[in-house]
Formats: sequence, C-alpha cells, structure tokens
Amino acid sequence: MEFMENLSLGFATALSTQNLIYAFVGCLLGTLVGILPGLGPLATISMLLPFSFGLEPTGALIMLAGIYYGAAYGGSTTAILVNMPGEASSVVTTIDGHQMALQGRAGPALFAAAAGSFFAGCLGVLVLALFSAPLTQLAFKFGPTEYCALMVLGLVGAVSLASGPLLKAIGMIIIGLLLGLVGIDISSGMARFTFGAPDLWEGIDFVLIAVGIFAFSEIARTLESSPHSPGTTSKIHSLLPSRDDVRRMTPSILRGSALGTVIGVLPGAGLSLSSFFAYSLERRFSRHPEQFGRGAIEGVAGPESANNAAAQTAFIPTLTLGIPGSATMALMLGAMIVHNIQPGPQVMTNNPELFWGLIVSMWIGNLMLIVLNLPLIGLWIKLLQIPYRLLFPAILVFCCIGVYSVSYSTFDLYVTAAFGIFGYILYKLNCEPAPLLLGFVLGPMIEENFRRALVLSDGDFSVFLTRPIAASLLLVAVMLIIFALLPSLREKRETAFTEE
Amino acid sequence: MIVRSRKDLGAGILYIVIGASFTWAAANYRMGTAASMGPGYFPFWLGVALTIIGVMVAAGAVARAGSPDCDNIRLDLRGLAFILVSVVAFGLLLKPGGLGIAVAATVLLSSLAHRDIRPAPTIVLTLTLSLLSVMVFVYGLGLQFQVLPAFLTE
Repeated sequence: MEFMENLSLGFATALSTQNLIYAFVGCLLGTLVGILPGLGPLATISMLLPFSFGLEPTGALIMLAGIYYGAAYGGSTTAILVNMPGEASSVVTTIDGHQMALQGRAGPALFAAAAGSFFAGCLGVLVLALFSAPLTQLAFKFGPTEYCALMVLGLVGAVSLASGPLLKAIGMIIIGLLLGLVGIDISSGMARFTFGAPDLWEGIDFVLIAVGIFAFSEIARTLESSPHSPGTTSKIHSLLPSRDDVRRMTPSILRGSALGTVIGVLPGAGLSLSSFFAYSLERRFSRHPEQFGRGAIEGVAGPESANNAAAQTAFIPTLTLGIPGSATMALMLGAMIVHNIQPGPQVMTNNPELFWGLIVSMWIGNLMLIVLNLPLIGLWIKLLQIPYRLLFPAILVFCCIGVYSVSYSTFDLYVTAAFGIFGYILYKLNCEPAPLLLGFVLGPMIEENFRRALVLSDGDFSVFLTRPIAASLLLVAVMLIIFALLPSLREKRETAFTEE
Repeated sequence: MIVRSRKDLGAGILYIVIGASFTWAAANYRMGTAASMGPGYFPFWLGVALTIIGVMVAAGAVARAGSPDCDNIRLDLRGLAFILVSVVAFGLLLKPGGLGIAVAATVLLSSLAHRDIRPAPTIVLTLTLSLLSVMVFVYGLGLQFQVLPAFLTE
C-alpha cells in the first residue's frame, strides 16, 4: 500500500543520526522556550531561522518543527508549577493546573499534561499522514485563480478566528502584503519601493521582519512590564496519578485530542483557541463542573491534549497547500522557500523524503518530549531561576549574529532595528503583528497568482466568481468575515488569545 | 469631538500614512491594464485599500460625544532605546572591532536597558558571551566573522 511505502521512507529519513539530533535539539529548545517566560516560540524560531539556513532542508524543518510543538509541551510545566504560562496556549492550564500544584498534586497534573500531549501528538501526526495525500491531490486541480482565492481565504481565516479588532488586523495584513512587494518585481524587472538602496533589491528578508518585530520588540516589552524571573515553585511529591485520576483524564484526553486535531487545521485558529475551547468543552461534559478552577484534572488533560494536537495538524495546510495558517507557519514556509523548496502540493511529489521524513520525525519528537518533560523536570525548575537581566542580552547577541549571518550585511542589522521600533509602535497601538507576517510571506505569491489569473481570463474579474472552486473559497471567506463581525461572537473572539 | 481610543486613532493614522506612501510611490510605476498588470497595479490598489481602512479605523476611534476610554499609551522607552543602541553598535563595531568586541559592546549596552543592573554579573556575562560567541559561531559553526579587531590584523 502506498501509505506504508511513504511511511517507511519517512522512517528511513527521520531515523538518520543527523535528523535524530536535529529533532532532539528542536525539542530541547522548544521545551526551554516553553519554560522560560519572556521568550515565545515565534521569537525563538525567528532567531534560529538564519542558523537553520546552513543546515540541509529536511534537518532544518525537523528542528524548527520540534521547537514549535515542543514549546506547546513545555509551557505546561511552568503553568502548573509557577502559575506562569510559558507561552500563550498554556494560559488555560494555569487555571486548574496550578490549583492542583497548590494542593500538592503537581505530579499528577504534570503527568496528565505530558500523557495527554503525547497521545494528542500521535493522533495529530496520524491525521497529518493520512490526510495529506488526498489533500494534495485536490490541490493539483488548482489554477492561479483558485490559489489566489485560497490565499485570500487563508488570510481572512487567520484574522477572523484569532486576532483582535478585525479592521485593524486586515490593515496589518495589507501592510505585510505591501512590505512583501519591496524589491525587484519578477515580471517587469522593475525595482519597487527600494529608494535607491541596492541592498533592498532582493526584497526585505523575512528574517529581518520576524526578528525585529517579534524578538526585539518582545524583549523591549518584557523589560518594560515584567523584567524579573518568576519566584519559587511548588514542591513535587510523586509523579504518578491515582487510579481515579487516570479514569477521569482519559476521556478528556480523547476529547481534547479530537478537538485540537480539527481546530489546528483551520487557518488562524492557533493553539490557544484549541486549549480554550477544550477547557469549555470539559466543563460542559464534566459531572463535577464546580471543581473546575479548583484543581480538576480534566481541566489540565483536555486543554493540553488539544493544544498539542493542534500543533501537529497546523502543519497540514502549510505542507500540503502552501498556505500558512499562522505566523509561525509563515516562518516555516519562508524557511522552505529559502531552501529552494517550492511550497505547495508539489512538495509531496518532488521532495517525498522531506515530507514524510518531517511527519515521522514529529512522532519521534513527541516521544522525545515525554522523556524531556517528565524525568527532567527538576532541571527545568532550576532554569526558571535564571534572572531575565542575564538572559535577554544573550538573546540579543544571538539575534544580532543570526541576522548578520543571513547576508553578511550590516545594513540588515539596521533594517531589523528599524522593524524593532515598528514592532514596538504596533504593540503600543494595539495592532496585531502576526497577520503582518502572514501577509508578508504571501504577498508576492498572491500578486503573481492574481496577475496570472487575470492574464488567463483576459482582464475579466468575474472569473473569481464563475469558477466553482474559487467562488466557494471566496464565499467561505466572506462568511468568516460575517462570523467575526457578529456581536455575540465578537466577545468570544476577544477573549480567545492569539498565538503568542 | 472626543477621542474614544487613542490607540485606535494612532493605528488609523499609521495606516493612512503607510497606505498613502505606498500608493504615491506605486503611482510612479507603470500601471498597465487588468489583463496585463504593470508593477504599479497591485501595490497601488493595496495602498488605496489600506488608506481607506485607516480612515475607517480612525473614524471609529473618534466620536461626537461620550467619555474617552482609558487607554493611555504608556511609553517607557529606556528598554527599547538601549536595545536599539546595542544592535546598532554591533553593526558598527563588527568590521573594525571583530566579533568579540562587537558582542561585548552589545551585552554591555543592552544590560543598561534593565533597571537592576549589577556590575559584577554583567561583566562576567560580557566576557562569557564574547568568548562563547567566537567559539560557537566561528569555530564551531564556521560562520564567517572577523574575530580580531581590524587594526590587529592589518
């Protein structure tokens, strides 16, 4: 069966010593990132992108992916022990997780989070493996008109499901699209928006925007608001859950995993949305809803499973269709482009070892993470004590070296600094930067497809409405916008957090 | 006219400025027709859309009457300023000073961004990171960096 062939190719690729090391490094870094507050997965991936360019593509993607889902795992540790979510999707875990820790039950809470995450990760990878092939088959029927519509849908979906005020988020997307157009236009050979600076002819490297807006400004913000490291942590007595615990957490893990698997595929949904929904779901299904908020183990198992499942399935649209559903996925896409891999359905046919190797490696990564998260907890607790004032200069140095090494150009450093200022301004004005990155990565592609679509239709715009696939995609986009504007749902959106 | 939300007003103005700038710049490029788009077509209309959105956001932030929302924009620029200075210093010092010195400057300058700066740990951090960067990035990963200051190698 073809599926088995693909899987064995994947195993062969993923089990190479080199790729195993990359997976391990990725998971380790991801866990670290999840644990250390003030350093989100988005900022870390931005920081490490330049260094991954030197690696060969499969290894680079394996490592970056490891950071991504590793952070989803790692954030739960601090959430439970110190009541500080290591990253956004672990916020929900603080609610019941920390309560359990205060009751001396940190061990079972951590176990529930880890076990749930592992199961969910396995399910997510399975879904990814099973559904990718049929999806890419579908995508092969897409022409430029359909692609354009799909990208618009991806962008609209990303802002309607996740971000804050819709209008401002759309504005951010457009800014991203415009920035993406800086540089030499391929079709006409004309240098656009470069203001006579030859350094800009190749366009703005997306690493510069990512590091500037996400890493630099995040450091500036942390220095402003909470420049210190967290305090003491609760004691852990025993890791093992009781029989009763296992009985209660099992259905939550199943529900959370299923929920996360589905939500993760949707563009813009993000890990936080999955954990938030899973929490609400658990509360509704529970026989003891009054226990929620006071240490209900379902409130830990469900959300943690959901966010890890979502972390895996979030790769589906990116790997199969070439449409990133979130800023982090946009970075992954950017990384693929740098390695000369054209993202889209052809990835599966042109680079099967990369595709299947990555998928299998995610499963292996989940295995590694269980090891990293349970026995090594004592070590992570020590790390929590590192004062931020020692940490952030190191991050800064790392970023500077990374940015410089992209094109060995000091001009790049100044551009990144400028984006740091821009990111700070955006934050102060309550503008979501994530849609900007999405728009930036997709900008040139949208323009190209739009152009081609209109060349094919000889200037006829109605082609977007007459071709069935394109029309239905655009219809879904419109529905999502209406959905986001309905007042009752508006509140729900504002309380659901975004990725970082 | 009351400003209901300073942040939104600021955002709207930002959008208008960026949108108008791009539209103005794009107008200098060839537009072409829909069937054969020139380099200016797509960015021009995007800029127009952004400007319109900016006007809408700004308009939403202002009202005839009513009470202003308490969203003051608090600025504490010390952190940002020192970070920027340290990054620029890195860029300026990299060629003439070499990697070690550039890293040291970055660490020292950025540490000033934190309120609780203490001399001893900062100096240790500076030395450690300078050494570590050179070892890991130049010798370990093989990135092309000048290690020693220019005047020593000339």
